[in-house]
Amino acid sequence: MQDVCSDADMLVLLEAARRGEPAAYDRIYNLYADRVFRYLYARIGQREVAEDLTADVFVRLLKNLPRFKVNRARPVASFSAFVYRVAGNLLTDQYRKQKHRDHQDIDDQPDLADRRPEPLILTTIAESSRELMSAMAKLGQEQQAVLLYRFGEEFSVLEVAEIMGKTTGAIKALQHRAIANLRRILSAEALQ
Amino acid sequence: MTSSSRAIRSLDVALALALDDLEAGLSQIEVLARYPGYEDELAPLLATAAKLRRADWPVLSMSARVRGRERVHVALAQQKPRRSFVLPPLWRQLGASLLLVALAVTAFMAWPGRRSDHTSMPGATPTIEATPSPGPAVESTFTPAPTETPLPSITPTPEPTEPPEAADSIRSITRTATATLSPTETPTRTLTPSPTPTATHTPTPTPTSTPTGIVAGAAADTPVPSQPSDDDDDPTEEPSPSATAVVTETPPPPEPTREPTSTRPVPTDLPPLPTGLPRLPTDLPPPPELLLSPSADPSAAQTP
Repeated sequence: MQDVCSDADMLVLLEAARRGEPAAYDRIYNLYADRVFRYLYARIGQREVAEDLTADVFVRLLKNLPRFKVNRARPVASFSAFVYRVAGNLLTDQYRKQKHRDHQDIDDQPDLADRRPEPLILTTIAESSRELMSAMAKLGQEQQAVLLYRFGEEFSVLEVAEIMGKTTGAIKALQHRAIANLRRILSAEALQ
Repeated sequence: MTSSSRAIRSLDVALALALDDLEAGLSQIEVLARYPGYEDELAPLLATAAKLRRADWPVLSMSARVRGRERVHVALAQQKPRRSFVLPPLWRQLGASLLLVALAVTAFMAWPGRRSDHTSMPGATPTIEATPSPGPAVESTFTPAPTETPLPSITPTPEPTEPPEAADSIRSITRTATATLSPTETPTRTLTPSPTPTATHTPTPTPTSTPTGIVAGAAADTPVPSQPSDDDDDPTEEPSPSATAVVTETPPPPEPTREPTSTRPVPTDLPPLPTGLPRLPTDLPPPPELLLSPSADPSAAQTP
């Protein structure tokens, strides 16, 4: 179970982080390290690279934190979205560097602007969950994303809405469809 | 909207709430009991959601976690000294605004066309060309000129210039007012009668071959006592210990050129010069007689 943080705690935590208190950064790191890692791992598919980039995300987060304007009505959701923006930007920079090094065509790279998880993550998950993950890979990318955020990263509906740029009602509906479709796929595979 | 879609929307909400309840630690049976009417639909969805919760999602390894935390601490330690110099955004905006205002004021003061800037700029050399004319209106044109600007007909002299006898081709009359004001800077004023009824301050180093009378103050901030002055021209802030007034008359070239940049009338009742400088006459003799004939009365030309 991941560390959880209420909105009030998040406000206090962000204030302490702005003051440069190391304990506040430790808490932020504990809150988001696994989430950021999964986010990156899903897109990169290389564990070591994803781990290194996870640390880079938090270093960049530290630099960008003074410019972050927290939504005081939804501190956790807004900060989570901010963390994922930082991670996405870092990933984009990483792809640019890699493209520059390898002279590869951008079409060969994953869609950088797309934050939705890719089936790649499904091949890297433990064997015990392979059946579930293979069924998840047959979902649409938005439905995969909402399942990853809600169950893999344990975000609230509000946070997922903030990250994906949708309303909470849309996320609830998307979550419902994703779980229902996943169940159908699992049932069909069980029959075969 | 049909009733079925409305029901689905309600099931969306029920599922979201049921998932929150599961996350809060309630069992599936307890959760289903909280949403009567949705048990049949919710049960399979919650079972699938429970599988998803139990799935092995990848996590950061312990070594990577420690490495990452150390990197964050190193970055934090590197950033701390810099953070102390970071101003809040409001102060940064205020500072930037003040800087812009200061730049604007400086640019305004240094603007060459500005009339009175030489009084506040220490390096500027105000030049006054006073040209009496028979006409009733006496105009003055002046523009502040920096000290680097060469003035072809006048050299600002901090000390009394050579007497009129020393001038060769230029018939110059130099009067020195050693009288007295305080600070260090020395104004030099040269009066040259010219046929034009204008008094001119010229910022540009245009060599005026015209028969002009030029009153030049060498030090910008130097006060000149009882100088026939425009209010802009008034020296003010630091009086000089020795004020020198040089009155020079130059013989006019054959074809005078007049290029005043701006004109404005000079008051006819000018205050007297500090040490015995004659007042500029309001009724000056006609230009040809004054400038071209060597027998013209120089005192009349010097007198404001």
